[in-house]
Amino acid sequence: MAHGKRRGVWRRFCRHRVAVACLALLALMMLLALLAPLIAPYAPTKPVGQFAQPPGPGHLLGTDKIGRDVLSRNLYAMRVSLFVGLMATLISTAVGVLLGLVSGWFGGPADKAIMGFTDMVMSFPYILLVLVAAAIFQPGLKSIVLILGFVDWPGVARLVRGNVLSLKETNFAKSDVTAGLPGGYILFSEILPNTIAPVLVYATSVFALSILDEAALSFLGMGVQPPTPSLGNLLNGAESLSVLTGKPWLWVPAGTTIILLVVCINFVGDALRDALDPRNTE
Amino acid sequence: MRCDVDRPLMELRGVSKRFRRSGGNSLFQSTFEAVRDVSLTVRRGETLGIVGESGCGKSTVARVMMGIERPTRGEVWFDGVRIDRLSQRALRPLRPRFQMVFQDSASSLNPRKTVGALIAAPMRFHGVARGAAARERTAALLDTVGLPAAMALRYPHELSGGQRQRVCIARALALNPELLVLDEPVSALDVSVQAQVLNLLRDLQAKLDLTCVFIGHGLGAVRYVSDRIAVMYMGRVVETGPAEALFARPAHPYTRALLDAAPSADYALRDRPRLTLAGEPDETPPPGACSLCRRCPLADDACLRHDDALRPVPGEEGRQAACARGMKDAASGIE
Repeated sequence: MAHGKRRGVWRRFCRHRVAVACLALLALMMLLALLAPLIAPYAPTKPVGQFAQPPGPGHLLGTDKIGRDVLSRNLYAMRVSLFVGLMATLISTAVGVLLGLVSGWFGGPADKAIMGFTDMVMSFPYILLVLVAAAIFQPGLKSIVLILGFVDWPGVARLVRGNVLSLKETNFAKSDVTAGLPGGYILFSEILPNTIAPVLVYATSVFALSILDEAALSFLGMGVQPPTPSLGNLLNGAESLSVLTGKPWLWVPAGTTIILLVVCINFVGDALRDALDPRNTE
Repeated sequence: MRCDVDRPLMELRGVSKRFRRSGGNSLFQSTFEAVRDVSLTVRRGETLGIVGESGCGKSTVARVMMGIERPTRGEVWFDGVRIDRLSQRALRPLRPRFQMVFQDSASSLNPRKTVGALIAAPMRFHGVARGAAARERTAALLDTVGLPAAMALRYPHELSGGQRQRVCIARALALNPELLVLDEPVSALDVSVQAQVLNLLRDLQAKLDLTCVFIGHGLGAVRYVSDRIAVMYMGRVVETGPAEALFARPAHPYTRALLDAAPSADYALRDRPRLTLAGEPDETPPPGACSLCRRCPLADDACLRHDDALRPVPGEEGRQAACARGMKDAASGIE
């Protein structure tokens, strides 16, 4: 039966043609990122050609200011950015779900404390918080994952809390109470599964946001540190006007990749929301 | 414990339940009393019907009995144990002995679980049965409520309303309860399905020796399954008594009005004199007066001085009504 249910989800997902195309594109990009070491024509951090050479045979996307292959750098950058996005999303979702569950289920002082803290985190100027954190901890891959992971959870926490609060009052939770089922069972076996779908949908938008945030942070020089390529610090080159106008091959590929990733993830998330709603039967 | 016949199985003593009204700030939050000073006893083996219009507090009474709502005042006793101050954990060992069926079967079953899993979960936790034994018992329970055993593999949204309500009943029966509280179990169903479920309930009462509390606003349904009736109005019990006598000779104007409001297919009854209440339920009746005094066509000045405490109905055994005036000389007020 579970198998049949999963097929229903997939069928509803397929009704969104655009989302299916986006999913395919996303899968392709993830595959390229994963296989970067195998398919990249050059090493991403070593000068392999002339400086700032325009696209052409040998270097399909040209070379950067110190002669590194732009195509290879982009492939590796995608790998880094996807990794950062994915890990940050996992951390923030885990933290958010945990705090939301505790807050919604126990209520009272625990709820007050957690929601107060959540509001506090939410009310900080976001980019400033990230910049300060990046300045305090050594900038780098690990710290950017942690930083992004710990600023994106409030949305998830509120979503989960709201869901728990409303599910706790449903008749099926009450009927479990009258059936004498223990609280842990009701929370994890009845309430949590009914929260997974909205959390999953929310997580896709956090994923897209994390990729954008990583790009912004790296663009500002506080994120992934050179020479390691990330989509953000590839864009860094566009800070200079001459590059922006005269050498588009240095920033157009990275910019396009970011747009494609974020748009695709959001479309997939939208379709997922419709597909996961069990009431949405044809 | 089971052999002590005299002790009521479920007893409410002076139970009140006050709710905070939603909205408003916390300093000046208004409250309203959904249930006021209700005392009820449910004797072993009988079925107590509770009737009243929407919002009269009958569902709150059920939830207080089931320990999912704590009374603001008063006591709840189950078979000689006071349960209203017990924590959910402390109440758990008693839970199998009293079970509940909710009004809306669609929302009282987790949409993500199969019928079989839903019915088996309480059995597993209370050590009634597990594994193959639980599956066997689930099939037997489904058979008891008139569903095929294959239903265990279905999801709640694949069933009809009547089938879902049967599943809820099966789940409530899974722990062999002594008391079954049914909160408007048939209100959400089609009339034809209502009859099937009511018949099922009557069969179960006889077969399983169940004590029931049946809550409803349809008088026919409540009368059909109940031995005794309690009529509620604005959070109070206004009349109690054996079902037949109460329906034949209502002793409270509100009961009479409820009976008269029910449409009848019988031509002889269609043009009978009826008692109709004026206006809407009165949230702030004059203090010390009968809470129905502003709406009741029979009310006179005396009604402003009598509160609505339950009084024995003269000449009727086991009946109480909250009307000081009585319905004896009522004919004049009924059109």
